[in-house]
Amino acid sequence: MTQKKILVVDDSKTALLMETMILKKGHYDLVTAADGADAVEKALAEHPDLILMDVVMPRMTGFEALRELRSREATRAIPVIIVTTRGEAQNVETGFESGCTDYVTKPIDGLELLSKIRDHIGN
Amino acid sequence: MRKDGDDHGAYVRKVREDTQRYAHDLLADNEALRVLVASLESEKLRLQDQVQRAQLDLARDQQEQDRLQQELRQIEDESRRFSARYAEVEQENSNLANLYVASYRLHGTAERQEVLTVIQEIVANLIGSEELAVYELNPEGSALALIDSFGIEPERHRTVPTGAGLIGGTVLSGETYISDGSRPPGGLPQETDLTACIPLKLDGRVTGAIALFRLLPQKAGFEAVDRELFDLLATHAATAIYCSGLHARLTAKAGVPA
Repeated sequence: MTQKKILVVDDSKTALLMETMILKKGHYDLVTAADGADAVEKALAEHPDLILMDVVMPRMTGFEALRELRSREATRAIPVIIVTTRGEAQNVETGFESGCTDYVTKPIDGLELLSKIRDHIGN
Repeated sequence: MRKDGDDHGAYVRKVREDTQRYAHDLLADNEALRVLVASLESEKLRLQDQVQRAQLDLARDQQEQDRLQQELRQIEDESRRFSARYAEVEQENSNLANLYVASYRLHGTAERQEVLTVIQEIVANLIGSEELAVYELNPEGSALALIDSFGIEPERHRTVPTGAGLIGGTVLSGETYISDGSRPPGGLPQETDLTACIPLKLDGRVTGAIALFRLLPQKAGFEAVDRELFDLLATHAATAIYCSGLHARLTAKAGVPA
């Protein structure tokens, strides 16, 4: 069985390291990107099974990248989990309006994140 | 007259024969009924025996069922204990991963600005606050000077005299301050939202402090791993800031651009 591929997008190297450490426990194949624009490019090139994306990033925010991904045929159906700093309703609502599939809040709870990923793409 | 006597005799004989037949039939019926009763009695005994055996089987089955149910309950308890233990181990792994990431990132650079960015990232991503101030103690040890901040008004936090308020008090005590939600006496006006203050220590000597203000809305309070991160920051952030300063001075002395 081929490993599921996850694209992890965060401009913070600390967050990226933390997220990849959590996801390695799930035995996923990981690809990383440092901002929204990079994420769109990597998504088109790598065809990940799921994208885990931060919201506040330079060049292109997570919400902008999400809209871009949803506008393209090749990336439209990829589940996207956004990582928001603030879990308030407004932020989450914007995420869902932009086309996100699910969300987690910082600081990330590893078990919660893995469970949500399993819900969307399985083990 | 003779004929009448013959008729009467024939009649009596017939009645006698009928009576004898009837009595015979009755005896035969009686015998058949006796056999039937005997057979029913025997059947009843057999059935009673069967019922008794069934009752014994039922009691045995009931006992077995009770035993199995008890075993099932034990297995369920064990499964719950394992699940709880698994969650604990996962939590410990996650905590260790947090500490590893923080330590790895703090010592992954010698550039001062990068060290300060890493402190911000640790506080935002691993602890859960987007309001912080990083201070360095001046050489005289009389005041803390703000060297980096995020999410607060820097002007209000530019300097903190040693011993003044909660942040200044941390420098004197050398102990991490963690708010319990109430406003402690002696707090300065700019410390209203202070949730924690970590003294930075090098060789046991306080060299600065990291002050955390409001936590992210979804963060209810500090947990055990946060306190461990505070301990790690107290020494590792102090070392990283000190080394980055040393590195800057050395590169400046050598004329190499930092």
